[in-house]
Amino acid sequence: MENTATQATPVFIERAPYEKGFADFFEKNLKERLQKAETDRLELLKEYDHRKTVGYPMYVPVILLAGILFLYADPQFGLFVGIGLGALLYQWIQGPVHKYRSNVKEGIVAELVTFFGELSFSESRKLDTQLLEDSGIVPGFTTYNGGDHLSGNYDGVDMEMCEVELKQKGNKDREYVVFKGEMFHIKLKKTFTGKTIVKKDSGFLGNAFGGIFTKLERVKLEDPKFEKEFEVYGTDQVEARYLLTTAFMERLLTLRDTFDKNGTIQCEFSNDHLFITIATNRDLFEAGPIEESCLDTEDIHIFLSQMESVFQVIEVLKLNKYTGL
Amino acid sequence: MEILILLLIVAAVFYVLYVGLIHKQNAAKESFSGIDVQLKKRHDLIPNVLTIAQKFMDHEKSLLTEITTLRTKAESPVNPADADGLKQKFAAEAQLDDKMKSLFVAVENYPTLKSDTVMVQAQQTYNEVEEHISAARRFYNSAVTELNNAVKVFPGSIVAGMLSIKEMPYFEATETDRKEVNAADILK
Repeated sequence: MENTATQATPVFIERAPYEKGFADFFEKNLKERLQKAETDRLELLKEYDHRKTVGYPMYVPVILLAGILFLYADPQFGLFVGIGLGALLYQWIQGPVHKYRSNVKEGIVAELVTFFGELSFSESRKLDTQLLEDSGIVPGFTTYNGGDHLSGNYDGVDMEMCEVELKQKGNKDREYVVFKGEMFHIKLKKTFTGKTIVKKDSGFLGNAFGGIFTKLERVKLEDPKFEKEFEVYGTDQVEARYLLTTAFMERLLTLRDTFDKNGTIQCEFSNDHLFITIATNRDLFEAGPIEESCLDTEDIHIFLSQMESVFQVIEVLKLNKYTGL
Repeated sequence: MEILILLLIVAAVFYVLYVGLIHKQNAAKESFSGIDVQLKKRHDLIPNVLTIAQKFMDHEKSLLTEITTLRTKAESPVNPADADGLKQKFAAEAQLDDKMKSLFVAVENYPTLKSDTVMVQAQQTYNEVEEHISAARRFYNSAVTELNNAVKVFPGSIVAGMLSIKEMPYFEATETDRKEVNAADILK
């Protein structure tokens, strides 16, 4: 556990061409915020340690009470009391951690995204539900949780992205997670007549089974690496190939790798928008553990590279250029 | 009885190969029509580009005339079943594309024309059309590959011979596209 009395001064050193100008931005807009966040973190860490010291031993009487109720009164009531009190106690202990994470998002992340121009951050906002329901790459769901929403305009192109968790009711009304990860919605300046879907390759049987129920045609591409990883379906063979150039396919794989090399990426072109999903268990905008200093700028480098990979997708499709076609 | 079963099997195999070849041939013809649509867009765009260029490019009259001639030649309709006709059409389109590329390079020598808003828009639209042509070409070549494989590989080759289904030509990149780029030529 860290209890440093003096703070190091955070410094940002530009490492990549897309980070050009960020060092100045960091000095003017982020450095003081990070130092304040670090001061707050140390205070919250003290509070967290105190709550753990008091709170963990409290589990003993809670378990005892629940046990007595379970054995000598109503078993269901005993379970309810045990789980309920246990959950409340846990939330109380974790209170400073939640506050720290919220402080970082509101104080740091919200300011960080303004570096890219007209972009803004909201912890609670999420993508429109209809967008997910209309999509051919999003599984069916009964519960939709979203947040850490980033939206705005990049070089004339409207875009938004957020973290999404989707659940589906299964047997006996139990819910299970069908998707967790990041979703991107990019409004195109060009309108496409057809629909093109890029899905993860599901193997011979999975692809054959999936192909039966879709009205879209299979689009076979020349890139063997891309063909091995993905299955492409579309209503227009030419339009699909116009969109899925070698450059775009490379950018799509780079986008996936910057967010999570082991993640699953899929995308859909439809009407006037591009919709991308990356299934990953990583949280994009979460602060590190409360025990670790938030003055380390490594996460900022990672975030900048992730945003750059999103912008590269927009640029390779020339979504910011109107060509009259 | 065994002979009957054997004949039935042969007939079934023949039918499957026949259906497959027809499907592939139709797919190749359909993909050719996809290229044709994009090529027509290029043909429609060229007069607009030439009209703008004519106002400024006094010394390129021969190039502009050549482009007009090539455009007329490339616009001639062709039957997708006619392999020689297709080869000639693709060759004409390749020549036209080469000359248009030369025109856009020549535009660089005319600063007023180069910065003309209408010309810039026309160039962007032309580039966009070229990307659509490239996509249509990829689809066409993919469909033609499937057809040609089915026509050449035994026993499909026998059925193709009986039905007079022939290989179709590929729509290849132009010579200019295939040439190595010499930076010294550009950075003069």
